[in-house]
Amino acid sequence: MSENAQTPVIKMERVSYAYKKHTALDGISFEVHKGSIHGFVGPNGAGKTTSLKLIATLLKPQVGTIRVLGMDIAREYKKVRQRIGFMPDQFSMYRQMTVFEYLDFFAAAYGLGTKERASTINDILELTDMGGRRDDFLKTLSRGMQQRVSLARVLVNDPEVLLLDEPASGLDPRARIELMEILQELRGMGKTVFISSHILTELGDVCDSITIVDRGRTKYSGPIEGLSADDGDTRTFTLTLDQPSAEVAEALRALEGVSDIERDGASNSYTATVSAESADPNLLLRTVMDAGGRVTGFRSGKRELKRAFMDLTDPGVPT
Amino acid sequence: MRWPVFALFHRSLLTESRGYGLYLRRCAMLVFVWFFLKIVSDSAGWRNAPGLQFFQYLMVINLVAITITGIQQFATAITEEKEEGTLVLLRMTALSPAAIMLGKSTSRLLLVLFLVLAQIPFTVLAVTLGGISSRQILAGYIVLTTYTIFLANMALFWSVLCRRGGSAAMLTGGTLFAYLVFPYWGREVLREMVRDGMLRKNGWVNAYGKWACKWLTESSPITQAGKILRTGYTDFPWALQATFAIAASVACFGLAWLLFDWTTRRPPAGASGLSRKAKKKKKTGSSAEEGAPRRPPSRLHRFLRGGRPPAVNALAWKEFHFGVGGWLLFTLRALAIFGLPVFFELLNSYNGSWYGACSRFDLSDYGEGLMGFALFGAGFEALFIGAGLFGREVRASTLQGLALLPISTTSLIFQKLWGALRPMLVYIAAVFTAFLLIPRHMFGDFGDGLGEPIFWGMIAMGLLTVLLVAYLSLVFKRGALAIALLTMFLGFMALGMFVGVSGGNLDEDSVALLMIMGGLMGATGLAAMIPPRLEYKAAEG
Repeated sequence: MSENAQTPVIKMERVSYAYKKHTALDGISFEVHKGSIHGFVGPNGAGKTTSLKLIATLLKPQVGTIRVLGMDIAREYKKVRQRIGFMPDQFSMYRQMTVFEYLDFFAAAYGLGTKERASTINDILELTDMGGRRDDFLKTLSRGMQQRVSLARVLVNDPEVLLLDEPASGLDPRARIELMEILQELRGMGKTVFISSHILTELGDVCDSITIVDRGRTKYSGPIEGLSADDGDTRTFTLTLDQPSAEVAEALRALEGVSDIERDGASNSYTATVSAESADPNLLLRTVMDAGGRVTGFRSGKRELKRAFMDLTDPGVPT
Repeated sequence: MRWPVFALFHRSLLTESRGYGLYLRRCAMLVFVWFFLKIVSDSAGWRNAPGLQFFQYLMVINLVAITITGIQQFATAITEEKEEGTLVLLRMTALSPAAIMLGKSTSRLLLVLFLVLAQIPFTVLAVTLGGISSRQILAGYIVLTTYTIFLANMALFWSVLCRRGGSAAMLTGGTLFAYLVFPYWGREVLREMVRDGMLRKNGWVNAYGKWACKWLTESSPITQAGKILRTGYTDFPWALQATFAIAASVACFGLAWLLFDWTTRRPPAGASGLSRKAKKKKKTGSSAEEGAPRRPPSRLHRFLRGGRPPAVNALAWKEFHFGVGGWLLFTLRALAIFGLPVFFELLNSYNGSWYGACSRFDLSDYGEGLMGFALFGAGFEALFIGAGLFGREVRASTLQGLALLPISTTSLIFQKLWGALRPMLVYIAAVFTAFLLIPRHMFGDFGDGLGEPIFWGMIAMGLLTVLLVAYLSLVFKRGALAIALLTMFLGFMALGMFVGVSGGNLDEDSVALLMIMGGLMGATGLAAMIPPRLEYKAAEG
């Protein structure tokens, strides 16, 4: 199949994979489009790492097809590998090499010439902010720095698709934010980023589209806005007060069309779920003020990613 | 478990007993006992003392098996925790150093002892076969038990002291070699020195040296086993060897216990000498600004580290420079292989000149020595290359990164082999030089040797062993070399038995043919099994 602008960069169709008796993927399907950051979310044991290994050509699908950049991964795995970069969830490095030697080796293994390698590695080190560490031994680097080198290694062959398995796990908040900035920069360079993560809030900030999987099945796949939109029948409003007030909660609950009031103790905020026909933000605000509440914040609520994730996935551990 | 001192010990025993390996080893041992029994009972009609013969087989196989598996199993007891970085977690619990050592090492020792002692009911059958007394059997098991205890505690000592399992195993093997071989060798050396007039016969060096060598020889399990396996052994079963083994075990355990805190406080296995130096400097206040980048490497440093990888065969470059030691170890190997025979030849000619026989450096003798060193070195190196080719990647979890390269698995394997086999050039050059130096009549002998089927049988078996080590390194994270060597040893034992049973129907050429066919078939099978196993291991991550 030839590649064109409409062709999804990654396309999984009814893919199943089982390890002996345990079914990791059960007919999973989704698409990822060019130049996007696509989040891949699911509870532990949902089949995220298996999916990533399949896309990265490390495993072969037992049922279904996977196309990366229009190529079938089972038949054209060498061509696929040339155009993708996979960063696994654990570091695997030659600890006795320096940062430059490590990147230079992988660039050479991808067939890059000596001069081309030097400039490519310099650019990558600049992008990942590791330029000052190029002659450091890998074993002397901190976890955050090793993560950056790992990302740099993925970039040496200038891949069109980046597959990142839990890239932010174990990083401190600053390193996470910086990593997300790098990913956005890579998107700006036209690369497609497929990222699996547990940190939903960060995914919500950077992703254009998302796939939620649970127990080896696709629960949602599409634009992130589609996930956080309200249900058709209800709307939610979040009010933040200067201090908690039981009277305000009671007054809101007494309003017509309000089905639920949820209090977040940490931020003194109340989320009201209201039927679509009764949803009137002015009425809500007036009710709160009449009950003696001092409003410090008001948000016409979209369903949060966290809430959507909880709604779409089943509780408990998969067996 | 109420007492923390036994908590880890209890857990280790439970974990080990849940694995299938233990039962596999027990089954293998039973099969061998049955096999030996069958052979000696079949040959009972024409062989004297079949019971003694049976017990001799068992003693040999047990001593070899304990030595090979013991070096690997016991020497990694503490180092594996250091390498995984889990020792610090154990130290944070209520477990004392003694509890950790008991838990990690003594549990393994007990499992090996159970394996040895479980044979006793079957070996008692040897008495009914005739030619051996129950006293000999008891004495034999005392030798095996005390030797195992000694080996476990000596290996534990090195395991506590070393940061890497490989170093601990090498030091354990080296110490064992010195203990078992040097006393015999030392006696010969002393005798020669006295004969050459280098030492006075009644001097204290000769007297104490001879006493030490005699005492160590007497305490050796090989000497003791030799005594027990003679017809008519009536000594008390507990001998000097057993007392020495127990005393040395207690000393090794005590030393390991004393050094445990000091050795486990050192930087973790990954920390380089460079980072330790940096820490030291920081303590003394002479450090540069923390986090400052290192100086760029010098030209010599860059050369020794291999320069830059070529765009073709980059994997071979990596394997040569970061797997088998690069140019530095290549040069050292060449110096050792070409230099050691010079040293021995000089020593020989010096000894000759001492008593006026010969003082000339003999090139043909040097050639013979060179050939010996080259062949022994090549075999030894091939085994380690086989063990490290994939084993290093598996242990460092770097196989996945290589499997993602846009090349086929076969190409990946060949590129790695191309890099790893470069040190073999030293041995090839040494063999070639030796051929040039050895006189023509000797050359003719070597030529005849190459025409012997048994030579090619041994080559086929060597190839099979190397491939077996390589395959097993993709199955087991540690101990592939030991398991492969033991498997090959058992295979050779079985072949020997088979030849024995045939009652002389199989001549040397037929045995060689069996070895060639078996070796090549096994090697082909393993070569076919390695690529899919590698892909599986890479996907596992």
